[in-house]
Amino acid sequence: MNEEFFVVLNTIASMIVIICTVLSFQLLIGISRELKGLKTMDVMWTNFIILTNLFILLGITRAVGSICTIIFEGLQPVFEALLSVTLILFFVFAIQLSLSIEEITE
Amino acid sequence: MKKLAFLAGIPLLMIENVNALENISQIDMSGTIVRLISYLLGVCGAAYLAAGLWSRSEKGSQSWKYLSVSMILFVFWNIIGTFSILLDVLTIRKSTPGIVISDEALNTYIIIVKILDPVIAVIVFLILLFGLRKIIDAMRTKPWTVFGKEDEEEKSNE
Repeated sequence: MNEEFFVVLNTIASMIVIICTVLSFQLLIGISRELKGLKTMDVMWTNFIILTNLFILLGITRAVGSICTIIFEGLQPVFEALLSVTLILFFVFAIQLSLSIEEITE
Repeated sequence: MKKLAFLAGIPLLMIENVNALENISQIDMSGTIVRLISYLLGVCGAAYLAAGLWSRSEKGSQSWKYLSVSMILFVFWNIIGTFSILLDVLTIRKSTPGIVISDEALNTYIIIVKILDPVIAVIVFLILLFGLRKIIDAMRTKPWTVFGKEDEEEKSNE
C-alpha cells in the first residue's frame, strides 16, 4: 500500500475524531449543567467530568498531532510528549473514578 | 539499610543503561521508554475503568455500558500504540545481530498497525459520543435510572 493511502486515512479519521470530541465536549457541558442540582455523588461526578475532559483532550491531541505531523514532521515529538502526559493523567483519574464508582456501587 | 541503598541506586543504573542503549542504536530510548510506560499505564487505567463502568451498568442504567465498551476499545488502541513503538524500535535496530525478522513480516505488521490505529480511534470516540448522549438523555428524562436499578419494562424498551 502506498503512503498517500495512509495520509488520507489518517486525515479522515482525525477529522471524524475532532468532530466527535467537540460534540462530546458540548454534551459534557450539558451533563455538568444537569449535575448542578445534585448534592450527592459529587466526587464521582467530578472525577467523571475530569476524566472525560482528559479523554477528549487525548483525542484532540492525537488527531491534531497526526494532521500536523503530515505538514511538519518536527512537531511529532511535541505531540508524543503531550500524549504521554495526558495518558499518565488519564491513568490517575481512571483509578480515582473506578474507586469512587466502587464506593457508590457497594 | 544496605538493601535500601541498593534500591536507591536502581534508577541510576537504569539511566546508565538507557544512555548506553541510546549511544548504540541512535534512537531516543528514554523518550521511547516514557511513551511505552504511558501507553501501558493507559491500558491498565482504561481496563480498570471499563470493569468499574461495566459493574455500574449491571447495577444501574445500561447507558454506562457504552462508555465501558469505549474504554475496552481504548485498551486495544493503547495496545496498538505500544506495538507500534516496538515496531519503530525494531525497524531502526533490525540490523543488530540477534534480531531475526524479515522485512516482509515487519512491513506487514506496520501496515496492520497503521490501518488499525485510526480505525479504532474513530470507533472509540463515536461510541463515547453515543454513550454520553445516552447518559444525558437518561439524566433529562429518567434521572433515577442513571444511579439506580431500572425496571424490567424499561430495560426491554431499550
